[in-house]
Amino acid sequence: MSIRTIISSSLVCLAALVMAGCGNGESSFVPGKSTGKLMTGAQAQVRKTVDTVFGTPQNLVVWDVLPINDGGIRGTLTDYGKSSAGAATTKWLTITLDSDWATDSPEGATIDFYSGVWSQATIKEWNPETGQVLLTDKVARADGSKKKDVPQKPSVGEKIVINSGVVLRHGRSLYQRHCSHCHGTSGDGAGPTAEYLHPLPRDYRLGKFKFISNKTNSRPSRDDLHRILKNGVPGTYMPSFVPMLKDEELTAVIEYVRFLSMRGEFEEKLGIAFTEYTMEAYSKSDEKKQLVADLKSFIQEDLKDELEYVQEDLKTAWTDADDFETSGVFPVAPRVPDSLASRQRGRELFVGKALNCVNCHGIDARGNGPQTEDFEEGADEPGLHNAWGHVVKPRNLTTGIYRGGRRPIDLYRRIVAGIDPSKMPAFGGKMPIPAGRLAADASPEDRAIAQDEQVWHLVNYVLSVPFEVEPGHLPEPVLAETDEPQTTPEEN
Amino acid sequence: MKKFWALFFFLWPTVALIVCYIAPSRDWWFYTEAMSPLGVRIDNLFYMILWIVTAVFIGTQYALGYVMWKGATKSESQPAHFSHGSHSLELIWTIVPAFVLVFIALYQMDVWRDFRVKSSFPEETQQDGAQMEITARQFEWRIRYPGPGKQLELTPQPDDLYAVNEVHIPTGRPVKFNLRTDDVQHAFFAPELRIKQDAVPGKVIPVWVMVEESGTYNLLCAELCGWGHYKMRANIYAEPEEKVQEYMEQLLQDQNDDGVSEDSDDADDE
Repeated sequence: MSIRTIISSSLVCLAALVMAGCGNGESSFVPGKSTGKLMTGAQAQVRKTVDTVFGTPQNLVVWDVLPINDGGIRGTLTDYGKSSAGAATTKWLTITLDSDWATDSPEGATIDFYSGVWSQATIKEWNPETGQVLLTDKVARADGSKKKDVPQKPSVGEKIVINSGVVLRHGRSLYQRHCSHCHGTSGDGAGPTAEYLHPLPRDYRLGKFKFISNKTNSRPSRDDLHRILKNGVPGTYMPSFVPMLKDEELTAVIEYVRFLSMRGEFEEKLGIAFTEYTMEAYSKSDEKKQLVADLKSFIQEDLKDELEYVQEDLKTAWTDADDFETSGVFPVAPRVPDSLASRQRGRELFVGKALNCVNCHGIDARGNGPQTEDFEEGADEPGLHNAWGHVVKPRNLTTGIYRGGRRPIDLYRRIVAGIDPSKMPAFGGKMPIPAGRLAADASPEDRAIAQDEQVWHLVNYVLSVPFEVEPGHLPEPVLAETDEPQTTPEEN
Repeated sequence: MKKFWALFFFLWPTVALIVCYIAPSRDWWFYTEAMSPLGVRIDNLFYMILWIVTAVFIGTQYALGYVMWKGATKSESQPAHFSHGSHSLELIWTIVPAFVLVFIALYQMDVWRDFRVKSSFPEETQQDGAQMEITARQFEWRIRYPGPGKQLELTPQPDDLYAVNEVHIPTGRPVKFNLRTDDVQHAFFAPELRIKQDAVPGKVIPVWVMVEESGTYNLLCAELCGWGHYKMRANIYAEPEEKVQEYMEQLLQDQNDDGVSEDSDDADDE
């Protein structure tokens, strides 16, 4: 083979590789698993609806009803005009903004219009006091035509958004760079690296996150996501992203993760609305034509209500998640000082019938309880299955690795609110209170305090497990420091 | 034309020299100042080698240029003269570089010993022991400090304090830490402090550093450790002893946060 043949054939190979590897160069959101099970017509409808309200990775859409902070500043157009100085004409607007726009460099910011003939203009100057905006010549029209001069003017009174989607777009590019190779472009936890990882990366699309500070089954708060990005998740492949990402970058990524999560959840819930119209139902049905006709009328008549219901559901869940007062889990009683007695009580609770922790975590807390050998209903393999359908191992408490954080409050939350997606039950309010601890007519507050005390005993025990000489032989707390954690800083 | 080519090829080493000479002052590329006394000594070694290499570079390039020019100006009627196998020349260019290399090898030894040989670590570090354990992991640095008033143990203790990607060291005194890895090989690289040390699975490697000036320095991974290698970035905060103590107290408070006791609020809002 001559050198020329080698060079030309390798060039052809390279070109083929490049073309095959890149496709059309656009990433896309992958439809969810349950969408794939629907009848073709239903599938098309779900995908169309999801694309309409969330867009594509290239062209994100923010649905105004959802609590997504896309970084845009909303306002109203109050005046429009042109002024001529010499040969040049300058277009200007006057706008009133709904919220403060703290910026040092308004130049280059975009204004989006949503009802008139203009779709987007670019700001040249902005006067915060008068609200007057000078525009550059770059004006995009809603009908997409590219005439240099724009004869029609925007209508006064229409709603405008400055810098629409700027945070979300920033979040998207950061997400694509740092997160998507594990978590996938759609947030489905199936990026190219995912298959090499155990545990698998989180699939956001169910809106379920394991290590949150909120009540059972809640969505995570922005703070929760921030904490995970800052601390990583020890024991998994999720590393810390601080100091690599700066604060505003973290905010942007968090917003984009929330966006992906809401998108996935929306698709999932919309799919549930179509439960009667699955492929399976179709193949089993005797009146296939009737089913198709039913689907059509369902789409025409009932879909609107379903959408409203799903939208309301999402909106409430994700808004509440950031309201720590209503959704957060916090104790009423401070941590019981760590002591041998407290640990012993914790151990009692751990092995006791009431909580039955040992059923999953095992008698020696190694995460090998009898439940891990059992077959769950309909499962092909033994063990507990999490919300994503994968076998999940109860935590081995002897390793001293705490995925959701090692602070007492973190463990408290795990016990009280459980880890719903991976079947760890919520034990809040279920603690057995020792006889004589409470009077028969104890107030609800007293009962809550007594409950919390029991949780803290359990926390103290769990924190001592890695230091056991042998299973069940509780180590004595080493020093006064561990006895009264709150007072140590002053003593040193 | 021959003269043109002779000059053309002599031009490039000259350009290279000039570019290298002015690069630091024009801020094109050069490393920043060393922030640790040992780093300054390492830099001095570097400069010494740089000077030797520069001298050799100029000498060889000049010789090459001279030969090219001689060839270019020689008349073509003169027959070429081949010289081959000059014994004394071979000896010179073997022995002289050998001496230079042996000199460098011996000369750098005490810096190497002070940086790497445990028994030659500064006395303070021998007495105090390791102040923290830094564990590299795909793709982050996890730091374990001993509990207040305690010595660092090789195995985790109940009152240890933990941090991620944030190393706090006091200024003005040598500090020793243990370097480990949880998974594959990583390398602890603090460019401003001139430390580069591999973290090897199964090994606990002591490293010491002394920083004189307060500041925030980079900590990077310098061993390609996986797809997220670029993510392994942390900050080393060198600060006065009191500041480090304050940080440790904050860490202790955060770590004991029970969501009820005082000070727990800021931990939640972080």
